[in-house]
Amino acid sequence: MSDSLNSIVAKVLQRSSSEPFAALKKELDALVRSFTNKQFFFLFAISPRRFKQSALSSSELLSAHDPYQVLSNWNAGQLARLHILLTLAQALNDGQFKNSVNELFKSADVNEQVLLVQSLAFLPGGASFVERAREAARSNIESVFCAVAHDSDYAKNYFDLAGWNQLVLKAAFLAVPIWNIAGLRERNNPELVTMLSNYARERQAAGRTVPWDLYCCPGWLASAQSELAFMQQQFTLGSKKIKAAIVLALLENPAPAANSLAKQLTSTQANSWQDIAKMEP
Amino acid sequence: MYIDPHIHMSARTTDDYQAMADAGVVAVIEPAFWLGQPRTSAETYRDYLASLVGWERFRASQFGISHYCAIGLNSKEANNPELAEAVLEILPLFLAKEGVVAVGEIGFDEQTSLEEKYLRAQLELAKQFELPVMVHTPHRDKLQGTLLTMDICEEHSLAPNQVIIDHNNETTVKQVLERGYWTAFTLYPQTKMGSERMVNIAREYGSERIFIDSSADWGVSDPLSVPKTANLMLQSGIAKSDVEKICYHNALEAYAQSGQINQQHWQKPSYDQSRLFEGNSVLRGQKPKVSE
Repeated sequence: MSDSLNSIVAKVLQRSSSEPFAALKKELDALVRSFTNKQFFFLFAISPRRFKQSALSSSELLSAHDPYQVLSNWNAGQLARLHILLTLAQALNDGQFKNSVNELFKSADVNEQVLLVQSLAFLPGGASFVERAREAARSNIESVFCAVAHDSDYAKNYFDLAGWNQLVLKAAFLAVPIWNIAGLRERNNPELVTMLSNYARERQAAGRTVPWDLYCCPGWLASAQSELAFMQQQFTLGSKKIKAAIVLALLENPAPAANSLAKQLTSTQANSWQDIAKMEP
Repeated sequence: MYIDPHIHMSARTTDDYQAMADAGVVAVIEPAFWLGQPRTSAETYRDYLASLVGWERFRASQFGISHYCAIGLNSKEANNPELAEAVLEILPLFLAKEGVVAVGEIGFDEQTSLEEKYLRAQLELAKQFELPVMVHTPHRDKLQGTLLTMDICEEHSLAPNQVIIDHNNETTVKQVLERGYWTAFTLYPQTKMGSERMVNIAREYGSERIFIDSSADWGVSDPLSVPKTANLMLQSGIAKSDVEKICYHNALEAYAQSGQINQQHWQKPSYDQSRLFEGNSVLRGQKPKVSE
């Protein structure tokens, strides 16, 4: 898959920025023949200056490989960086590629960190970078954190239970959207529900607000009496958005008891998480 | 609107960022420097440089301040050749990063031969990466050190307008200006150059190629000295257009030669976060975080 993705990436770059692409192609050929980290890092760093922020032409060619339309929203400089990574992923052996990319992470600026993390979903052998993705999921820089949390299946596919749960909890902590974390429903689990419920109580004890979309995870899984009671109590305390989120999560919960609780609770009806996200607080 | 073109924000608190933003500082340039004591390893130096293009940029953005940096090996740490050699290997990794507007701050401390060696090596890097140079002039034997630095820059055929000579005072200003260099003054609250002296310099030399900075760091220093001095200049009858050049436009013009700093960066709000949140189609309108 990465082979054909890289050929499409090359084609899009060629059509978008033919001159810098021709120069890059030459330098990449030379780099593949005689690899040095120094030249790799240089080409990676300099690409945005050479390709500028030009918009991509023919970006629709990427769509088969790009379920979240991440790449098609990039500019040429960003796509050039992915092209460098994909080319070297093919040319170097796995260990060498991993070491070099790890070195690149160590000296990355903010936007490079974002791009590297977003690229993980498109690189072959993705599992070998799971620790870099875990670091991004610990970042307090929202853009870096969101690069692993949103619009990428990487965390869903490669994070273990602890890593996954910390990712979701950190999203709550950073107050970035939780509801659209890719894989949120598939990877929901009782440990995570406990962590999020405790987090909600802790915030309330401090008189602070709770993110409304924290409630999807406990709502989807609530079935025991104590869990339903918690949802009901949180509904009473919650804002308009929290009320809507609790009702929607309980309606999406397969347990009949959860459904009937949802029907008892009255709130603004929302048909989707996106609808609630758009509601005024 | 003010730019503080030389300030070590990593050593400052969020209160400082807030006060600077409130006083109208829209952009800062943080040159790589020592930590008050010499580092003993190139790896800690690397992490420091990575924080200048990473965490510190983000921290500044939370207060609506655009953060840029200069990357270099400072003169004090150039005196440890083992460290210096290893750092020189690392510098090219950082010189093409986003927001790197110069090689700096480099120059002389004691004017040793090692300092000279690494100054020269870094002038060559500035040429290779097409970046301006931010020169730290020595605090001791300043005039001789300043003249020597300019001679060396010319030997390496750097154009004077590619070089910013910083930490000037009454004894150096004339020759630095005459030779065509950007002439920067650091305003120190207690020692060296103070705001009143700066007003006199502005009266005498005008505003051509002159600008000011705070160089605030982990020592006694004032991150508001650019806006404070601007106010004092205005009160002292210096023309508004001159004050704007000295406190904003000249530094911008000097460092814009890097292609990495542009007024548009602070004229549109929150550059990076907005981009990501757009993709999520949900804007929560967060305020800057002031905790953690």
